[in-house]
Amino acid sequence: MKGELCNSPFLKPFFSMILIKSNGDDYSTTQVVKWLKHSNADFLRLNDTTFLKDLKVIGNAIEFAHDGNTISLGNVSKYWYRRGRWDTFSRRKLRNVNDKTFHGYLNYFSKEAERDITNTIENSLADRSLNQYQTSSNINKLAVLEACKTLNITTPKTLITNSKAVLKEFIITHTEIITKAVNNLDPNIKGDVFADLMTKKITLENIDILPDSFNVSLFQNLVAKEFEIRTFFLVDTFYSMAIFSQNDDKTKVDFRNYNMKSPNRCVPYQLPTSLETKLRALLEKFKLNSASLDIIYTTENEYSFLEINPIGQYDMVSKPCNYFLDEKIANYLTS
Amino acid sequence: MFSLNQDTNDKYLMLFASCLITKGHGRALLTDSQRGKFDLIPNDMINFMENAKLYSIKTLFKIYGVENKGIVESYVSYILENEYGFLANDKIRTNFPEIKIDWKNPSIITNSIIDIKDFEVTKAIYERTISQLNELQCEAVQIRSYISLSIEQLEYLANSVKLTCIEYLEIYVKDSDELPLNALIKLMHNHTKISNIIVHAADKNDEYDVIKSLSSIYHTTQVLTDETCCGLVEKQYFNAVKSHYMEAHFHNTCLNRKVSIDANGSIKNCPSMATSFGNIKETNLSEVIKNEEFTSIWNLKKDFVLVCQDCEFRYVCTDCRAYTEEPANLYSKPLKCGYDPYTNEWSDWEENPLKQKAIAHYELSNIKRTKTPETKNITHAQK
Ligand code: SF4
Ligand code: SF4
Repeated sequence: MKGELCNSPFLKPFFSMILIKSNGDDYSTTQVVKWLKHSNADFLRLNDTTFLKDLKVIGNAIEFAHDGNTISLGNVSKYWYRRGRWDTFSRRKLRNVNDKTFHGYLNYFSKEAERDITNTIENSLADRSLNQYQTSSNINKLAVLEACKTLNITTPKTLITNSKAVLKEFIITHTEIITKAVNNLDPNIKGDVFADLMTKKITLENIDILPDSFNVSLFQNLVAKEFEIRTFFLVDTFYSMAIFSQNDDKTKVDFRNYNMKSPNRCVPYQLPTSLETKLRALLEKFKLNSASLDIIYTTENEYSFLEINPIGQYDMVSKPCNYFLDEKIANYLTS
Repeated sequence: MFSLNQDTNDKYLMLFASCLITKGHGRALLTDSQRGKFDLIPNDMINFMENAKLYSIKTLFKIYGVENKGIVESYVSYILENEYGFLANDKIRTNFPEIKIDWKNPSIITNSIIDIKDFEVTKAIYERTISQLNELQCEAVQIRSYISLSIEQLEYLANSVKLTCIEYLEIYVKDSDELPLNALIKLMHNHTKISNIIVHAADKNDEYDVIKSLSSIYHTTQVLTDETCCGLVEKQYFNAVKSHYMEAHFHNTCLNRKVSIDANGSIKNCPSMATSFGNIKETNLSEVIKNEEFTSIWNLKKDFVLVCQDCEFRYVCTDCRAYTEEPANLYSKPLKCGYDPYTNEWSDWEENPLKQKAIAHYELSNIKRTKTPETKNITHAQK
């Protein structure tokens, strides 16, 4: 079948091919792949369980083996980093290491090595990538907030602290505050009431039970919202959606706390050009040509920027707004 | 009830973009395509909503005058209380574009019906059929067995779709002692692609939700004797979800991108259709879908169908092309619909004197229908 590389490489050399890095169970990748098949495009989908065999980096030429074929990155026409990591180090071998500390070391260094190799691979694809692992996987929230300041993008008041006293002062000034994960992967305050990836509101009582010093965490004042905006940026266009969640207490703080019975109203939205221009500059700064962004439209008629999520579920924007983003991504990859 | 105040005076009443109005001959339908619901509204309200786009709430009240104050209040309340719309200030109201009426799908075939009257006959062609549907990227398959099957046989049917791109398998099967509920639940646990099992000719009507696979098992006393049972148009079968509503603007809501295999293996648009495009034993589905005679019906949308084109339900309704009021007329209205959009009344289609000729033509006269509101429409594989 086309695109699945089960044809003999001798009959059909791959002069040009789309390379996708994703997870095996990612729904959106599967949808984009359907569109690629629809237009008879050649592609290779690598999942995070796909180990790169016979990897060969000589100068600018990078090759690896896949399903009996030699894949040369020189033949890759477009690269889409969607999800997951590049598997260049066989972790299976690690499983045999019984010594826990030693295992930990090996694991750490293998990750480091893997990251360096990934960078090398991706750098060679830099001019034809839709996102990259190196830029997508480790968005530094604090750096984003810094950049917003210089670009004049309004954000909620932010505090980063590990001190109960400082936090207390902050809540007294702002009355309503929330906490967020500093890093997408690590819950902010392990083992506590608001150790959760979701955005959670914090009360004085929550703070009272904290130790004097805790894991460094991020806090923001809760901005009163008319509605939320989730926008998906693809290459040069913002596809935005307004989310009305105010009618429902369950979703007041973070609309990801879904209410299944009566889902939030999600409708197409057009951001003002001036804001789009600033956001474009922000994304450029972080070398992202695709990402989901969260914004709040406040009761004061202002836009308050919350965060960037490079690997966000754009489908939740695409479906309600009838944007057909899967097809648009496929079109970009085949262009 | 809504009333003017400081806060709302200068705001504009807007519909959420996913709430779409379809004008009918005598009244209109407000389709909430995000929540999959719909509601009848007077045609006058269309005009009102058009005006609401131009004028603030305060001005609207002025334009409609004191004598219509009650009506304006009730319209505004209706939209807000049902969450069909919201109030926006002048600053941002133009930032809410309308939703684009558009429908696309990467699959060449999106859904398929496979009928079973003799398991051995079907078994001989089943794997071939499934593998060809897989190549066409088919998403949903509906199996309609007019006979009873054993759990092993159901297991076999489900196994074959396991490694394919078919995501939803809906199975109709006749009830028997061999199909106790717990065996069906176990089957669905093992095969999460089964979206529904509908056991017909059962001794009771009920519904059981299989939480693990987000699917359901229905029992219905209705008896499905053969393909002539299909094609009913009733309110309970209307589908208001966005993809259907959008597809209906461009395509036939039953037959678009459908390919069916009848109980003998004949390839048809649907098993009830007279025309066969060859038997799956010797003909490839990919050949059939190249045939324009086969695909032209995909584009026969409701807006082309007589009577339906004036009906407020036209984008949520299914469009049966196998049984129509005038069998010789391509654009004739579905026979098994009892609705008259000109009087806005529902009646029993089987009793309609004007339909007797067509009923005789299709040899439907001896069908005894037991009305069971729980039964699901058998025209569409559930997605
Ligand atoms: S509703 Fe569709 S599948 Fe059923 S008989 Fe009519 S055309 Fe065929
Ligand atoms: S008249 Fe046509 S569109 Fe209206 S309910 Fe009947 S079949 Fe459906």
